[in-house]
Amino acid sequence: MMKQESVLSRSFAIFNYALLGLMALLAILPFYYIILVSFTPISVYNANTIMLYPKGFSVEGFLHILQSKSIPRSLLNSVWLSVSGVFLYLALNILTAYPLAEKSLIGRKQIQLMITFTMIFSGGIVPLFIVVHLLGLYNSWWAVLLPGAVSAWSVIIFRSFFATISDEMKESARIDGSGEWRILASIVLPVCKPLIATFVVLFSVSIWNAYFTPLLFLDDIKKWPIQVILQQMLATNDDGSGEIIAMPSEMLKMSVTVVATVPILAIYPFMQKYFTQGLMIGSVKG
Amino acid sequence: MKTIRISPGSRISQMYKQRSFYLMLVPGVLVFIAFKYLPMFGLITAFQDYQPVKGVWHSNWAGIEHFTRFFTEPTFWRLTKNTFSIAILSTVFFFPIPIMLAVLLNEIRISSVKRIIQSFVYIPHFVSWVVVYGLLFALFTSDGLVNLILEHFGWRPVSPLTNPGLFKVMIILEQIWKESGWNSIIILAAITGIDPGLYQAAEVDGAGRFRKIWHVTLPGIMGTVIILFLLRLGSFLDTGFEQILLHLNALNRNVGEVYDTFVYQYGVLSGQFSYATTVGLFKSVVGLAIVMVTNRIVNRMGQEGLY
Amino acid sequence: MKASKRKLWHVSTSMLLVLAMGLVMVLSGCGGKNNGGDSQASQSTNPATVEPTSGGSSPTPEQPEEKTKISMMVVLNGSEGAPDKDGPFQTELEKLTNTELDINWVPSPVYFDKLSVAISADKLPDITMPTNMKEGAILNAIRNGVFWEIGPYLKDYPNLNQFSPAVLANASVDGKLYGLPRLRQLSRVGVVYRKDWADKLNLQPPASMEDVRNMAEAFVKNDPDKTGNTGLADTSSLLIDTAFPPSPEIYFGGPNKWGVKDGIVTPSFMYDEYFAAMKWFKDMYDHGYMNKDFALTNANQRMELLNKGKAGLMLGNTSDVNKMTALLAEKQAKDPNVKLEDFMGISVFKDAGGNYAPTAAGDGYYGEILINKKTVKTEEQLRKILAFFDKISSEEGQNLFYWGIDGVHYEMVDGKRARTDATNAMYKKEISNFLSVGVFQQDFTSAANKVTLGAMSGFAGLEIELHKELAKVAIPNVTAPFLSETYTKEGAELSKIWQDGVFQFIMGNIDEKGWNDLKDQWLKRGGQKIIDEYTAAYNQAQSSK
Repeated sequence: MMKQESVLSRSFAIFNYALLGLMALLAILPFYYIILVSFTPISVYNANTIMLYPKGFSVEGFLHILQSKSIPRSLLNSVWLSVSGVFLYLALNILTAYPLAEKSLIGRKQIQLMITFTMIFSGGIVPLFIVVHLLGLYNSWWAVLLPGAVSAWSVIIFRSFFATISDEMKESARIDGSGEWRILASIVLPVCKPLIATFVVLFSVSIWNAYFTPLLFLDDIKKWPIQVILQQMLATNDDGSGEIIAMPSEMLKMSVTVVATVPILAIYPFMQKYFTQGLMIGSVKG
Repeated sequence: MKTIRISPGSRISQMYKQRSFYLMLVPGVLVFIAFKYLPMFGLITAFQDYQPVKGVWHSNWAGIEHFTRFFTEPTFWRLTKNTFSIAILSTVFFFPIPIMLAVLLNEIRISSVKRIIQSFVYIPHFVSWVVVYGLLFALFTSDGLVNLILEHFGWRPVSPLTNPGLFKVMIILEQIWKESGWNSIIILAAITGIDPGLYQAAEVDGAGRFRKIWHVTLPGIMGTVIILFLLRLGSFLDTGFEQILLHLNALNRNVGEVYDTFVYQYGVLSGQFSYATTVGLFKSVVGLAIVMVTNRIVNRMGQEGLY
Repeated sequence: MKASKRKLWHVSTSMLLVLAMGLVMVLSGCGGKNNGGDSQASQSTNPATVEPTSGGSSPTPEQPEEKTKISMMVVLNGSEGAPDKDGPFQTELEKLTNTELDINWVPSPVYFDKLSVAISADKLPDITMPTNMKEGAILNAIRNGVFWEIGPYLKDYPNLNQFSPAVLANASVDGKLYGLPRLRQLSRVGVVYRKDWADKLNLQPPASMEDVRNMAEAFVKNDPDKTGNTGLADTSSLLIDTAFPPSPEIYFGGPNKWGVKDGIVTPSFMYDEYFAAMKWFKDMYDHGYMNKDFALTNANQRMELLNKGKAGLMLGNTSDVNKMTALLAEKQAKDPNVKLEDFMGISVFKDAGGNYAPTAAGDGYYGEILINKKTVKTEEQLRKILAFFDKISSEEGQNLFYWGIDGVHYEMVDGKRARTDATNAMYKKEISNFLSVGVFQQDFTSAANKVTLGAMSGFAGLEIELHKELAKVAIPNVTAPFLSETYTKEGAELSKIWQDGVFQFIMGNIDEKGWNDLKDQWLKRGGQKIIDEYTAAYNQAQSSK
């Protein structure tokens, strides 16, 4: 049976494609420019005010970055931090959010209030520094990962997704004798794949991009993740004291951006296959 | 069923029944306490004459001296006006865009196109504000690309980077460009959670595309949207400090300076921690008030709020 | 009724709970900090702690004297990573000074933050070297006795006791010297210009503001690099950035940032001479001889514009000529034999009589080396540390710091020390970051500098000569030795009032009346207090002479 699509619907579709296409283009254009500049020879970049299309190809822009011995090590650090961090963060958030999705939990409102409170009030970086020292975590990966592991934002979003899962399913499982852990693992989580995929992306990106906390809490240069090393390159070039890199700082910024972001950009397309419709069973609840 | 020792129905017995839940909560709550609550002792410095050397425990008490100083700052009204207007503009114009983006994306039938567009629109999130500003510089200075094109056609050059009237517009547009794609990811996840059966039912009822959006998609994500909105309100007065700081110059300072840049100047650069904490505390209190009011409204409307 | 009562109970319980939790946190933090602050911290994982010399490692029988252990927090520049502590340089350094160095390398962008946090958390190592001690947490710490006042001890250390009275005055806080200032040239101010363009137009090196204007005008009108009408107008020629040239008012007869007028310490922007300078720049701007976007341009963007040939002149630091690397690369792509001196020139101003004209003097130093009183507990230990700095300030020490080890970090070429690619790489890896630990090495104009000059390329030789001459006539900022409470608290914010005004005037957004209004505003908002405080301090210093 042929479905008749109204003229309005079809013209909307065309308009939609055009609009979204335009947005995608606007989003990608600057990145195109960044890649363009970073792969241009220095002399060519300098001779032109603005480049719209490639003129000559060179990896000069990356030589300085890639020659640095700190890069491979810091890349490994970042990968390690991101991977282990994602597991840690997911575990903590899921375990905290799932009980809160249970409306009959005693103390639920109070705990949620306490969590919301942390979203609004913060003591600042110096007290955090002192606490990290107090707990003996200074100069360790924990200091970089733990403070951001759970936040009101992530817990509450997980909770609201969990809350959409029907109570009947959970109740019948309980009557069958399943414990909460089993329910969580076998009923709730499989259905939340898009949510988990989303947060894999969100968490890995935020850990990958972290710059200030690693700087502050990690004294050992060997432990530094890649953003710290890259920012250091940019800062030194800007600073001018110490060494003067034979590259315009704008161009260095581009190369640094490429190195810093290309690895992590791959995460989202990788996770996209989990974003299929209808995986979440249960009545829709506002 | 386990044997219950205390009288059935009492709170303790109920809590015992739910003990798995409490066990699950332990690690997360510990992290909250350790890394969010413990550091809150720093908030005391807003009421002290904080000397870093003396620490929090030995600095002299200053009462509300810093608050008075802040509210009587000659620039206070200007800062307040700038901060609130950017916050409101951002909430009104920036917040809905990721939602619209996600809904529109959902309407694309060809999945490969959908995936490609999705993968493109979130890329600006990864470009740092420093690089973004560098790009703006290349575009909008007197011999930047945009003005070259304008001159070519005989039109007047523009200077949005120095024009105070365009400052707020630029800030919001930049935020939209940079973060809409990224923020739409979570909405898209919410859309996938809508029962496809509902779409089929709507189809049977004769609903066209627009009806489906209105009656199925939007209500389906309403809960998530409300939560996201509430979460955003908690940081209502956070205006994006790095972005604004980069944009400030001699010509737009009057319209551009906000609480966050003020705190940076006094807190980080001048080392007046107490004063900076004061402003931060003030921002938090305003955020709290807004969240409490809105959360109550949401609860009254029958939706679940933050708490 | 019941429902709302229960709700009220719920809300109030939650409030009470939160409050209780908060109190518990604060109280536990209280006890925790008091205990953890001192005892735990010292032995914790923080490497920046020190053990007192006497209780340190057991002395090996071969060594006559125990090594002094020093912990430091040093700025890390570059991204090579920290120098290897077992590398040739650090080994040699430790041998020379009989020390064991425990160095915590901190990247320069966060050095200030980390230092502030360390002060707050009571985690300071023996030695720190902030670049500005007159504000924030550091000034605070100084005034609270965290650091040794080393002024009185200097006389016992011949190599260290070489600071000029001016630098000593500038580096003091409340009249006392708390750290070792790291010497820098007093002034490097001049003009950096495109020599190839100047040669084409038969222009002499600019020696005055008028010359600068003439050159800029010539560059604009006569299009020396013949890019002509490519649609990209070479409209600008003199480059200014947001930092504005150092005290341009001097060239018009004004003081350096602050001067004494009728016995009152007055900021330079209040002088008529300053307004004359502003009018000069406005004139340049209106004619198009100056970059239109100067209000947006930072130092890096300025260098990029000069490198791209969008302009031909720059007022500021003559050493910036070494940053023309991109243009050099571009030219060398066409002709590998091109050198920097072929197309770039530097010059300084001279007066009508051919004497070097005064320029703005900097403070003469860049940051100080501070010694922590809490970890360096006795005078004996202090003296050992001062001995370390004394040793590295000797001729042998200075040369080690500047040149490194023969064959490893430099080579002898034609009887002069020089750096080749290989040795330069080792130098950057091992030594360049140590330069900030040294006191005298970087100021070649000072008599205290005992570094053997090596083979010099490019502008190095000319720069040293010019900087020496500039140092003789540089005008100091009269308020440099003093502190004004109001300035420390509000100065930066207040300065924006008139600094923005300068830019607005040049761009034509405000007129003279508007400028005068801004000056009044500055006075009313706190400027008057600053003037009073500086004047009082100045008079006091004068009377005690």
